[in-house]
Amino acid sequence: MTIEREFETVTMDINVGPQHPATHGVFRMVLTVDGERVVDLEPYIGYMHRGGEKLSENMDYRQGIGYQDRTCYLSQFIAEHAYVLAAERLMEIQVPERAEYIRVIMDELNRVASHMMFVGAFGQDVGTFGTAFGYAFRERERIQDLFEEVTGERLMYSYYRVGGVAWDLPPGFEESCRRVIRELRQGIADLDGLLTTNEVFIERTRDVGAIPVEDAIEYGLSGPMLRACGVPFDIRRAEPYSLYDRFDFEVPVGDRGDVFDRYWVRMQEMAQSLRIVEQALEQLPGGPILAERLPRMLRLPPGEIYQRVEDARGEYGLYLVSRGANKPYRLKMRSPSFSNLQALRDMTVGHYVADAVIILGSIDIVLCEVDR
Amino acid sequence: MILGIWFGNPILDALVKIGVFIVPVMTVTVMFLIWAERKVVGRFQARLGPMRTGPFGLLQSVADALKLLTKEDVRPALADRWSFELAPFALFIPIFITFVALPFTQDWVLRNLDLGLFYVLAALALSTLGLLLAGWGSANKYALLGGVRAAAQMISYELPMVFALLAVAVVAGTLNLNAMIEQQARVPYVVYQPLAFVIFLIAATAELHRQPFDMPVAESEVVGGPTVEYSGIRWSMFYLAEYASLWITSILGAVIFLGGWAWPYGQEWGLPWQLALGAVKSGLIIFIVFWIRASMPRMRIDQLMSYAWKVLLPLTFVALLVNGFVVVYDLPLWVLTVASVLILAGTVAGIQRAVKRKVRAQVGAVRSLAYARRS
Amino acid sequence: MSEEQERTTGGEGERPPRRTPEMQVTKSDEGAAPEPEVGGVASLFREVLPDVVFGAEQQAYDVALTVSREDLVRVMEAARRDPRLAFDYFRFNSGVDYQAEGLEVVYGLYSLTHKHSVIIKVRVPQDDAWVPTLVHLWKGANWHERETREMFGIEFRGHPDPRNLLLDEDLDIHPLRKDHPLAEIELKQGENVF
Repeated sequence: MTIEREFETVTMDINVGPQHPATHGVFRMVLTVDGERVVDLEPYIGYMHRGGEKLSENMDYRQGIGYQDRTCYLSQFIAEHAYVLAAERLMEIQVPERAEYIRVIMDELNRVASHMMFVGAFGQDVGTFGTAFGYAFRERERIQDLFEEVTGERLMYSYYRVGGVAWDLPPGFEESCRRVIRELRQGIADLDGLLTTNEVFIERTRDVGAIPVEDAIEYGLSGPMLRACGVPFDIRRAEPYSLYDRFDFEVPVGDRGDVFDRYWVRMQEMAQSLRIVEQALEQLPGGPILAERLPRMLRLPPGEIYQRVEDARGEYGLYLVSRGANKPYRLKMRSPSFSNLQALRDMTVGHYVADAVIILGSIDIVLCEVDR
Repeated sequence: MILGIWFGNPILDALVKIGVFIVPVMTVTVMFLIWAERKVVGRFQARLGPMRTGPFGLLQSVADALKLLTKEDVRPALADRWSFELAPFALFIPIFITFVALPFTQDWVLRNLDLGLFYVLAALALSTLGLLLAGWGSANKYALLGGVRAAAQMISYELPMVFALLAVAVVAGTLNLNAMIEQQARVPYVVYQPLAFVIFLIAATAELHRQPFDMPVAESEVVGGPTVEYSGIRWSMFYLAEYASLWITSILGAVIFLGGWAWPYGQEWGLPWQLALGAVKSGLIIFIVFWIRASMPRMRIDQLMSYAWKVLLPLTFVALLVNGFVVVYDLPLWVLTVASVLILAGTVAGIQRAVKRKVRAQVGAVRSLAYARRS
Repeated sequence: MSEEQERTTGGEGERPPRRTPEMQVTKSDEGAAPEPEVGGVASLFREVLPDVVFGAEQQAYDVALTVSREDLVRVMEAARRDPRLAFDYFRFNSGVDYQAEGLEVVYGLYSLTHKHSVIIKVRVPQDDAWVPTLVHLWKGANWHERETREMFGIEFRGHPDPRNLLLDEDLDIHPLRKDHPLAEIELKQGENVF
């Protein structure tokens, strides 16, 4: 129902400045608002730009692993995995099976931790004032305790190496991991009960921020954003790397591509990741964790490779150009949040101001990844 | 009448009694409520709340008050001087004066007004002006927007609240708060009017700008609320006013629906028991408000307004109609109970079905997936 | 050899070394990868555009095609619109600085319908660094091209909004060029040294 406008109204610019009350990092957007509706949105990024690609050209293939953590600070293992896989493919190194299984376990637990962070921050954006945050971060702490057992670090792990992983799993890891999986399942059910069937939550998120599938594909949206639109594109299935062809898991898809579907897809992905971890734990073999006879200074043969992995946010790709040195000649980091964020304007225009924050939250951006 | 009229002059007497009895009690209670909210909400969120300042963090409010008192009083240069400075008072004083008519025990009521209920509601409604003044006087377009929205919300939810209380007053036959309580000595009104109680709770939560209805003031997600330009003492007055009105509303709810100081055995067992009853009942309502705050997401402003006008107000009209029938045709009071419960159940089921239909395919599946083993 | 023997040796024979991508059909076929054909995508391109000269090489996962700047728009339009190619998913766009040998613009594309991917490269000389924009083909190209422009100084002719994306608005440096030093220059905000 449209109402004829008799007044001349003026649009207003609202600056959602680089400092947010919401927890998304240093990002600025200027909303042009006509009354309650958003008419235009201009995102400004680059506040976290540290010149990562230039830095990577000056770090050799062991130092560069640490930088991948700092680029993708919520899916650290997955980003490291992309880096070491690229190097291993070019050098044609055979990675021992045990190391590959360990990598899969770490990757999938990392995915669950990242999605837990999303649910916590998203619950805050929607307005549950910290209840969702508290529950989600309690679960995330369990995973981080596990990671600390294995790597000694809470956030910047630097655990993978070209040819394997740095250390073996500590004794007793399997029991702790199984216990954590049990508790995580209960945690996911708790969060589901708090949010998914909550009428206010549904009213706030259903049919908000939908993007047509064709546009989504053109923008290069990937990960839960694209799967929420109904496209079952998951790199672990479409272009399998590591051992993902040995595990039995489903790729959840949504139907409308709105904010609720994105939340829903991430909740289901957590459950699927736990399935993968269980299967990996069962199949975990013994053996070495680092390839034999690796040179001390890793020099990659000349060549180029575009290595992509399924990050918690979508397709994380590394375009690596090597000219035979011990450092990359060019390392382009294709981050999923960069492409996902481009679609923000199309998704928000036409909605209310209050929805803008929710839509931004549903993209689940990692600013370090966007800006590198 | 507490201890008769002092000084022979009723106005002076009221002022002095307010200063001597109400102000200290209210200050302490409000500070206690602030602490209680942080503890209770913290527990809901799987954390402890304040723990360090004093035993169990009891001195946290004192620490906050001291901090606020020592802050610089900043006033925007373009702010309209009178609106900006009067706004906290315009919000605070009406809330303050409602204490005159509230009965804490059988004898402890400042003035037992025959229009007690009307007086309390009118005074509470006056406080809307405070937010408007704050929004307008801040010379900040976002504060203005927030203030206008806050005022619109308060006005919209005023109607269901008043009508729900009116429904009870129709059956009680009086607006005198103490008389209403004495009528509940055997059975509290909530037994006969659960629908009115629920409507009152929801509308009161919205009047207090608490979750899930706090969009105008929690617009700090995107912009500030109407109080954004205030700092220090002025802001603390807004803060105190919020908790004071929470307390008053809970007393009102306890008095009208839960039997106040009278049920059970209030009149037989004397003063301390009556005080305890009053405290427990208003505490219960406050706890429910905290509970809802910790559990629910925020409604968007247009959803909030349509909820008031399209759901709550028709419900209150229905409740009023049913009450009218019972009074006019002299039906037994359990008819009210049955009708209320039926209407309430029907509305809840209707809303649930309407909303959950949107996610029919997804609801419930995560739980089964979360427990799915390797197939 | 008889047919039976061929069939039995087909599946159970020596597993190829793991360094080449193995595409096994996974349990749920949704989104699973097809059998790889080395040079398959390259021959598709040659079939669709027989008069365009492509340099082709096989990287670890993708086929990389090198085209000239003049043919770029035709190649990209065919990649986007031709139903045999159907590259609808825009992966990325970036540059590589080969100094004296020129600057290279790299595009990564993927097709969700045919599930094949390609890398397309264009080499431009340092003193004449421009390529036509592809914003009209993929919306996702917008930000990628802005970033490549500010990092390498390659102009994307026809881009509707070529402002700086990650760097400050007033900076006119191209940090990812090899002649730009890593850490020796200090720029204060608002002072455009160059």
